[in-house]
Amino acid sequence: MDRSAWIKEQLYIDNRIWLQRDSQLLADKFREMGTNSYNFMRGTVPLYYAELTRLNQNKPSTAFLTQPESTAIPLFGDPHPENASVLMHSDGNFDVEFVDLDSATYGPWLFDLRRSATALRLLGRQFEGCDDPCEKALVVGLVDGLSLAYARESYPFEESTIWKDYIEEAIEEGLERKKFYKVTEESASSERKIIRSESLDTNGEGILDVTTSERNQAERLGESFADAHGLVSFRILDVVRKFGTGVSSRPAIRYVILWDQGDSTENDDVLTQFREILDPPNMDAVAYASTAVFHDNADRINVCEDKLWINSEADPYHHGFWDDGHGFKSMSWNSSLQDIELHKMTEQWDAGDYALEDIVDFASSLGWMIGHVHHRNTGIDGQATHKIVQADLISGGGWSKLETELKEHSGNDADFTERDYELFKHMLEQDGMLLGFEHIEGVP
Amino acid sequence: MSDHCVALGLWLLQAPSNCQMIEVDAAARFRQDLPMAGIHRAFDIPRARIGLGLSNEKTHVRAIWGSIRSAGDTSYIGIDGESFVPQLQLMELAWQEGWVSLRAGLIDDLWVVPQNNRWILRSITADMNERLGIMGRSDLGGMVSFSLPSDRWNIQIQLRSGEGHRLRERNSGQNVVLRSELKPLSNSDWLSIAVFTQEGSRGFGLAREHRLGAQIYSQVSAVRFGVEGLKSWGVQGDSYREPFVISGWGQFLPESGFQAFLKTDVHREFEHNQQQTFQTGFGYRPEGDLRIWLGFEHNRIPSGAGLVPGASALGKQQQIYIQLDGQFRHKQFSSST
Repeated sequence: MDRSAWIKEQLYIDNRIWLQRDSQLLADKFREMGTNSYNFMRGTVPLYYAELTRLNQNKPSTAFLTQPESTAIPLFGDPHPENASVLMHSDGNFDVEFVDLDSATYGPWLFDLRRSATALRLLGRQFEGCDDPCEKALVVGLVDGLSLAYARESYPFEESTIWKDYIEEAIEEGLERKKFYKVTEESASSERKIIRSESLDTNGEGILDVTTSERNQAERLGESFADAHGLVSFRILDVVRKFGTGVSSRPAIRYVILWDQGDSTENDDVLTQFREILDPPNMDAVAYASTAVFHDNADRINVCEDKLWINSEADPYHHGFWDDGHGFKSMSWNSSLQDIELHKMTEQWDAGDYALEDIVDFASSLGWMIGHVHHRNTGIDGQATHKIVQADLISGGGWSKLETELKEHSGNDADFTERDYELFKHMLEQDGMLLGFEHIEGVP
Repeated sequence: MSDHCVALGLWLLQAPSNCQMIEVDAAARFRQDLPMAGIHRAFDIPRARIGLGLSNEKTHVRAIWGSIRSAGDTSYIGIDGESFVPQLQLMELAWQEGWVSLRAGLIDDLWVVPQNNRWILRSITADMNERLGIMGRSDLGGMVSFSLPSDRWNIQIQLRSGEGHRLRERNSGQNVVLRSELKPLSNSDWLSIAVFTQEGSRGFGLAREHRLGAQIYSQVSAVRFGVEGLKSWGVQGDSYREPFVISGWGQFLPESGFQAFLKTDVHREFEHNQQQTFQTGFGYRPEGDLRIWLGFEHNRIPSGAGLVPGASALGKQQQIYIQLDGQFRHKQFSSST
């Protein structure tokens, strides 16, 4: 029996909207997913949850999720390492958050941990010499971080070898406005403009001019953005479309606007991204008949930012908007925001700058971030999230049982992801960069 | 003049009349879900369909539009919010000559639609196979049907896309479906025994989609019974799944007055566990086409047989509801169409 057929079915359902709109951008997403198993995992969040909730008697059994309320708490949905970022502020304070809330929704509390543990195992597999005990150590680190948060202890990001690198980078590059000067240039009108690429490169990356309709949409979003943030004398100086960023959302519409508030110098110039957002993955395993609690995807982003960020103002320009049937989110685009990057981590590992204990400590920080926000949230029934989770933890066998189960389940999930990745690469070779989806009627 | 002038819920085996018809099938429900959390109390429209048909002695054309939420059940991307939008469920052209008929278009599924016609209360609940996504209401394709003039035996053979009415064709493989029904007793309503089989595939990967099932129905006056069992190999592109669903039901549905039904389904997909559903309802039908129901549904999913094995929280769901439903027909006969 062919697992490839099922994977293809899930990928089609998940990516149908991209296929119909611009199949070349989808082909670029699939190409990126084919580069390594970690990127494959990033590009297949719905496939992961479809597998997790697929009727299959050979799946491992959980000891948790014994009470209905434990199945519907606010979740990040996709708390993998590269979705975590440092956000440095002008006063010298900083936040560390899972900034990407594209998959945020209500679901079983265990799912965030399981997804995160799976991602950590796949991260470990990118490091030379990180074998199964090494991967398991990362999962233990994740659970330790969670228990630290449940003990109401804080996590010292400044002391973490890995986070310290990103914090220093955010301070240094943020002060220099490195990204701003890298992507903008002075123009004849004395205002700065965003530098365009001649064309997209072989990885599909680049910055291009917008069409008239795209400009109109970006300007409408800009107006909503200014209203939402109470910006006086808001002016859009330039608009472009950015391509080739991320994996899962790679084909999404992504604008960058350069704006200011009337100052003729570049001092008040700001770069902001507007990126289209789609639905969260369907988690299915909720004990209630209906959890459609958000007005739309823009509302979902705004609600989840309040619920899931440690500091909901961590990115002051992060906000959800609805325009012409599309959900968008605005995000700061500057050097004070530094995302965790897999290739940097592997380089540091290879260079001997990072040791296993550093990666385990980093895994703890992710567990801490997941657990910390439980203390300020409520489940869908209004009960405090941390109380729901604690009750379910006790009923399921406690922390050691959680650790044992996550080690086993994440190993299973990571193996599945690796196998699916190999199948996916084979499908790309055999069926082409669109997996044969291009043959159906209506694909541009 | 025969009374086979129907647009909805129809599975014509006999020569249609010369007529034009409009039918509306509607239901409104107020439900309370248990456990009581999340959005546990809500209004629903379980059924909102319109059917149109034109027929003469040898040909007919029918079209049915149902309604769906434009954003589906789980999405936040819809039309003007999540508005209800019409969905074409059937568009059938047919020609009949003696005991043979040919049909083509978006045609009825030979498991779901005969079941619906016997069960009648589709607005209360769909066949469990349809609810679980194992079977769909219609598909693009063609059908040839043979039936004895006595109406004792009929057989239908379909060739269709296999993707269902929601998806376009995604492979070059077609599904072959066969259904045969025998009505051995002098009154054809008293006993109907049908077998159903499908050899097919689905999706880009041509995942297997095979079915084998049987349906037994009986109607004596206002009392109806049904037993159905369907074994599947492959579901919605997942070749590994092999569910077996068996259902049994009884109804008391007189032309007016007190009404009742009882239905139980067993969904077996694991070696040692099975999901069970129990439904019952009591209703009243005044003179006319309306019914009002007070109903109850209980779903039991053993922790080992659910979406997340071991998650006992997902094991029980119940619903209590009040529902108003009805099927309204307007038909006009003419000497020729």
